Amino acid sequence: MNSRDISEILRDRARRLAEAEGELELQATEPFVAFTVSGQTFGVPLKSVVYAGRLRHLTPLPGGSPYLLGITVLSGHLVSVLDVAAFLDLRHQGLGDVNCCLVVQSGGRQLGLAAEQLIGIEEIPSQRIATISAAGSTEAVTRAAFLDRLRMLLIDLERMIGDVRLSGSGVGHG
Amino acid sequence: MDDILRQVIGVYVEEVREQAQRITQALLVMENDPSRVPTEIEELYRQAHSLKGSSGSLGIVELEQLAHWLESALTGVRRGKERLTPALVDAGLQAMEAAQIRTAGLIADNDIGADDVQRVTESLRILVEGMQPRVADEGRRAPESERSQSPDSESSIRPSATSGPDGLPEIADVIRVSIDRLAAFERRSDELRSLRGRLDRHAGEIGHVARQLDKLLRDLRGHSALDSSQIGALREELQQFQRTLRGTRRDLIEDVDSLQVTTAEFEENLRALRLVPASLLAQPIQLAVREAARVTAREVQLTITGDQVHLDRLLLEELKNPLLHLVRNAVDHGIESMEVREAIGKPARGRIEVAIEQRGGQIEVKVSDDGRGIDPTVVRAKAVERGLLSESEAESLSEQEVYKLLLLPGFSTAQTVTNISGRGVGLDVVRNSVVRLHGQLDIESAIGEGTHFIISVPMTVVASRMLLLRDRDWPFALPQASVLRVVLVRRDRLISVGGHTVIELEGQTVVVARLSQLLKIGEHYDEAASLPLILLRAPGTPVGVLCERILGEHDLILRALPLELQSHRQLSAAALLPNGTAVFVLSASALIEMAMTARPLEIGNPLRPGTILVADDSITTRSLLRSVLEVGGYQVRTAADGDEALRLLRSEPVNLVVSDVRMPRLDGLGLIARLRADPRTSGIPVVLFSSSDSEEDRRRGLASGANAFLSKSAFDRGHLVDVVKNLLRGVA
Repeated sequence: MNSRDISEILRDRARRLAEAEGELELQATEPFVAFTVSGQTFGVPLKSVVYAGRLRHLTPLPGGSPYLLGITVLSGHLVSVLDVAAFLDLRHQGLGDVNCCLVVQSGGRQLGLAAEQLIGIEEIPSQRIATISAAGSTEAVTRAAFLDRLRMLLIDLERMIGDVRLSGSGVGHG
Repeated sequence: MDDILRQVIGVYVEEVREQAQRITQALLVMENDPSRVPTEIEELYRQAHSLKGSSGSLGIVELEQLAHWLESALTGVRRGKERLTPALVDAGLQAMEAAQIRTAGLIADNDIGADDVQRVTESLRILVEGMQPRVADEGRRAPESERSQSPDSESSIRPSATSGPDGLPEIADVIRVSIDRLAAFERRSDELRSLRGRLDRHAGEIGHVARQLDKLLRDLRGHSALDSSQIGALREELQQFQRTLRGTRRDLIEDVDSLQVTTAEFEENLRALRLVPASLLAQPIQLAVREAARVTAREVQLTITGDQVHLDRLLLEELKNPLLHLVRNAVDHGIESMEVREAIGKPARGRIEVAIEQRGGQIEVKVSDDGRGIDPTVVRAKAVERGLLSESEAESLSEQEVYKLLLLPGFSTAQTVTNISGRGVGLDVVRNSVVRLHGQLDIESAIGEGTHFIISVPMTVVASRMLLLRDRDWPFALPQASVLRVVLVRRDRLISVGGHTVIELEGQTVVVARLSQLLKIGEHYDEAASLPLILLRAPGTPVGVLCERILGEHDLILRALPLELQSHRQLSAAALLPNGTAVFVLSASALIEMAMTARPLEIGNPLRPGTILVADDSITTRSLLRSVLEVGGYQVRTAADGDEALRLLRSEPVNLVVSDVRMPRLDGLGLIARLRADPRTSGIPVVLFSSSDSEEDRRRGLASGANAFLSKSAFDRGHLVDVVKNLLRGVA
């Protein structure tokens, strides 16, 4: 290989790298924290997540709410823990191994989401996100990301936390 | 000041300030309620004696003498031979004020307050010797210039390091820490030290792997090619590194989690240190009312309730001035003169009540008087006169809107301006303070009957005395203030009357309900012949609530419930336990209301089908299985893994085990093997729960000795209860 070949190869390589970089820049992504519960994969915007980890302790809520499991303490703050699938009426029959919790915040309020498994942070390209007809009983899930064979339901936290059932008005308490 | 004194002066000064405050408190209580003289005078003497003793032992003769003459001045009262006169109270109060001022001089090692102490001591001596006291005869204080010219003509006190700008005592800026609380800090400190050791170990492990990798790379440099056996050895070595690093990573994650918990608990303990009892407000309020009553020639009976509530000292500081304004306002504007009161048939002595109460996430302070009340017509007229409203606008205001006019800057309906109030600044200050605390100020009033000013502010941090209890394995807390007492009652003393379960206690018929029934966390009785009955304070007769066990009394930090839980009326707040977990605080008023409409308990032959141990590492699965089985009537115990389950099985009788297959430390199959190997537990039926529903797993589960195998993915509440029932029937 002479010096001319080498410089051509290097030029060609530089051009291809620049093109690839350009493609990457065009491909806008949105970071989500992915988790599973009740056989479904959900995603919440990374910027709204204040804690993701083990659910160390749960004080169960007496009186049997169908979707509020209880409270946990995070750095001295009380956080209600929500069964997302039950809240969205998406629970299939069965019992999950909920050991994790994501604490999310929106509109100055925090809420814990019980999770079976924390998958991690997923950078989701915008073109992979599609609007779907509302999943479950609320408008809190109207978008989904389609990644290979996985469908991730994207939670609109503002709508979820603003849901009348979580407004403290007593509506919908079982 | 010598070295020894310098070392202990800080502690001594704190002691003097506390003693002075207690003596002041005792004097005010005795003056307000003479029936309490016999008990309070003893407390006063104890404190004065301690003050004399500690001062004497440190050679602080001036305060020793002051305490001595105070004791002597009150000897007649103590022996019941003399009445506690206002002059004696004045002398005592001024002595204690002087003592507190002198502490500032002692700390600074100068003469501040020494003259005052000397003058007040002399006044006390004169009082004791039966001469005409020249101390504070009309409550008016001499100006500074007069005092400096004539040091013993008038006992007057300068504001000091321990007095507020208004001359009233400040809330101390030093706190005492209980041994328990200190021990909690030490525990956290031990945990942090242990965590540091673990992190050091992990660093060592990673360093070891790094060195091994360096060595491996050095060795590889000498090889241009590797044969298959060398590649195999290399792979094995790398796999070993991988395992080590994975293990270390897992340990690190756990340690970081632990660090988060420990630091959170540390912060919580620090926050708890800021808590002080609301009773610290009592003395400034009493002094303010006393002073205002004297200046306005009113007679006032002051009652303060709820001062055992603990709250953040910043909140307390912020509440102090608004409260002082309100009580002065009540004396000056609310309470009528004695002549007027007598003329309209009211007792000459007016009443002012300050009630401090914690309501859910709020602190409510109500200042009430039985005075003239607010006349909306007068307020409307004043607003029109000042050009704030037109006549028609004023007429269209509701009563509440009219009261709000009083909170405007400079608005006052007082006919005369006095030193106490009437300048239209008091209520404005109150409103501003309350707004700063994100609270609200409400006014209720009735002409001729009195006025209530109600301040509600969110509690940032509040600790209260709580009764911790347990029912059906659920822990709860109840505010001690709502509990009359707890008695152990035999179940056979409960009877059904008129659709209620009741018990006769000391001639009273008390309605009784079971806590688990009210909260819908289980219906059945247990075998215990006696159960604790919590008697809740209720209008008229107390209401009884039965529970399984009383766990004790604790001062717990309360947290307001998150918004989404605030409609659960049976819960008023949550309390943080020392281990960093939370417990729900029950609302006594909701329990009383629910108990009055609850259906009667099944009193005869209680059925207790059995105790079931649920072992699962998932908190929510444990909670769900527990609630399903409890609703089925079973007593449920829970464990987070096989190890914990075994420990529990060895310590208490269990009729059946429901266990997850996959658990840390000891899994479900391992648990069954250990149970079957022990003759004491070999016969206990075990229901295995598995996330997998493959035939192979089912076969393995049953082969291990499980009596039933259920799939989590096909979980059905009714089926679980049926399986448990059938297995227990088989055992019986």
